[in-house]
Amino acid sequence: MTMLLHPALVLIAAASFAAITRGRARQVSLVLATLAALIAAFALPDGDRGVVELTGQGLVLLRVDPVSRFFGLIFTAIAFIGTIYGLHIDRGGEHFTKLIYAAGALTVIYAGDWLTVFAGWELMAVTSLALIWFGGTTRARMAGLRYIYVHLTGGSLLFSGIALLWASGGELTLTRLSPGTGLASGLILAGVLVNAAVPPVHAWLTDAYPEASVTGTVFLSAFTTKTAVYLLIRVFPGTEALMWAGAIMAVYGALFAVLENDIRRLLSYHIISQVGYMVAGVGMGTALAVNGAAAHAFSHILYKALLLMGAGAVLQATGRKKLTELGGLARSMPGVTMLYLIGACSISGVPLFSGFVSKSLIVSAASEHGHVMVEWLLIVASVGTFLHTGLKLPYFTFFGPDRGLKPTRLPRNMVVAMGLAAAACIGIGVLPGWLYARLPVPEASYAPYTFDHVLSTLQLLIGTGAAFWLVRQSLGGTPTVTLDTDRLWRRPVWMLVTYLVSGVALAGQRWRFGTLAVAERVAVTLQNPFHVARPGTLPYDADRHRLPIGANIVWIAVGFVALMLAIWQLTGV
Amino acid sequence: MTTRQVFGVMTVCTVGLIAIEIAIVQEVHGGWWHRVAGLDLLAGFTGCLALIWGAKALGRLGLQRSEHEYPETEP
Repeated sequence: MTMLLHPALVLIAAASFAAITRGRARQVSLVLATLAALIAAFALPDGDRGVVELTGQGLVLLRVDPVSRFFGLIFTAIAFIGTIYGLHIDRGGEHFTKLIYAAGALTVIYAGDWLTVFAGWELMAVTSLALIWFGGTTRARMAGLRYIYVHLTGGSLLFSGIALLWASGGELTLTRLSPGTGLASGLILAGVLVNAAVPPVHAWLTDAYPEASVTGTVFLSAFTTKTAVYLLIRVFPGTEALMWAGAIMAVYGALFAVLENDIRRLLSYHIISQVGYMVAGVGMGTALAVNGAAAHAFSHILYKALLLMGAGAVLQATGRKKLTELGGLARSMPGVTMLYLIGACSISGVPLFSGFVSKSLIVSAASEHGHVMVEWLLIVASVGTFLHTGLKLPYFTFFGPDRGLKPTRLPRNMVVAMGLAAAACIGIGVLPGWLYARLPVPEASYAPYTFDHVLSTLQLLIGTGAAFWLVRQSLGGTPTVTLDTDRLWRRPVWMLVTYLVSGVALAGQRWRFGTLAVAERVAVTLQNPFHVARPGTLPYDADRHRLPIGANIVWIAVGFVALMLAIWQLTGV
Repeated sequence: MTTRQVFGVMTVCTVGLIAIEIAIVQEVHGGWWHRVAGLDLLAGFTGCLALIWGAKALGRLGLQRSEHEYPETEP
């Protein structure tokens, strides 16, 4: 019975209902169902349920422990908020896809074995592709194709690792692995890192997320990278290479965001940067750092959703998404501006906002354990985060030169959803105890509001603000694109796919023509076999070689009698 | 706000924060550099400029291209 409370099942039921209903009935059912999934995530008791036997392996469909409970809570919460944000959408298919995507993520979170993880993983890949395609543009369609190439590769790596683990007689239970112990764990780690968007395999994120539908981007930002972080926490804590990869990733995202003109792409670079903090925390592996990774995933899902909802609201109301085309919207969209700024304060780690109480766990863990370089890299990334999401984007979108835009009125549900996310960001920032009490490692304690910590954060923010104000004119965005690591494989993969497709098509065409030619020759030969024996004679010609109708009837009658005689001889009837 | 006003407010905040740091903060967590008054302020200022100039330099080296660098229909 408890298995029926699996939040993924609740969302799948809601998705099915959304696909067959319309209007108010669909809206009410979506809100109630996602709320039910959130309540289920709160209420589920610890333990394994839904255990099924498959080819000698016990698959656990629902494992509830502190880690899965923590991620389950935020995943269902953002499914609820994101659903409210998209309530005005009339496409049942989009609602269906969003909820199945969230259900895929929850399948991974609550899985107790690798096969169930893989099933959820692939469900996410397919449904996230559909969310990108719901962007509805040629660019979205092409970005979706590139996205799925990468994720099929990542999924193949993951599956190869799982298969090797299975073949080597290992248990498929989801437990800690060491990447140095064998090829299987290395392949699994590689597959997970693709979804975590760790450079150099990160460009799919900044390529595809900004092209998805307005609501789709909000969902995408919450689940794919965070399920990867969840798996890293569960399977690879303390892998030192991850600490360095994460620290570099944090700065990388912040650095590339400087050159970005598209507001949703700029925010996507900051997903990479913020996930970098989490990956670094997992790599450090201490109780404080792992708690930091989980806590930061929790607050990141909320504030990044809020920021993308703000950017989506701007796109929805003005039809524009580039810094060079935006400006002066604070007057016409004061509510969105204020709510966006709450998200900006949260991601920037301003005291009393959620990012302050989660990010500092990771930076403090680096500091306490003497990882000086990592600590400084994370501090520089923090500077970059405030620079872009807290200063550059709001300045040029909401406060910069007024471009005379006339935004349309937003559906009320979009603002309500942003309000909920903003309230959560402030709630966590003001009362961090609620978040800390639910962290995966309960024995690690942390006090974020120490005098020196608040003071140093304020200094960092003021220093960044002063530098921004000095050079702000050079940050206004330019109508350009930034080359990223996808440059290395984009053209070769395109050519490979093109030649593969055209090669297969050409081979098929030749095969078809070849078989037709052979069939034609065989047919001619069968029509007049003497033509083979006497090459000089004409091939079959109906007027010349066809027997008269009477002769044909005689031959048929003779054949029939012969057949009857043969049957009579054989059967004795 | 004019640049003068912005920097006026920032200067007041900066002086205030550094004064509080020197006068009141007794316990500092982490490495010795956290005890240097105003270091975080400097880190924010220089870190921000370094990121901007670093990224701009990369852009000039060829990372920043025309919006039509990739054909729209290229998968």
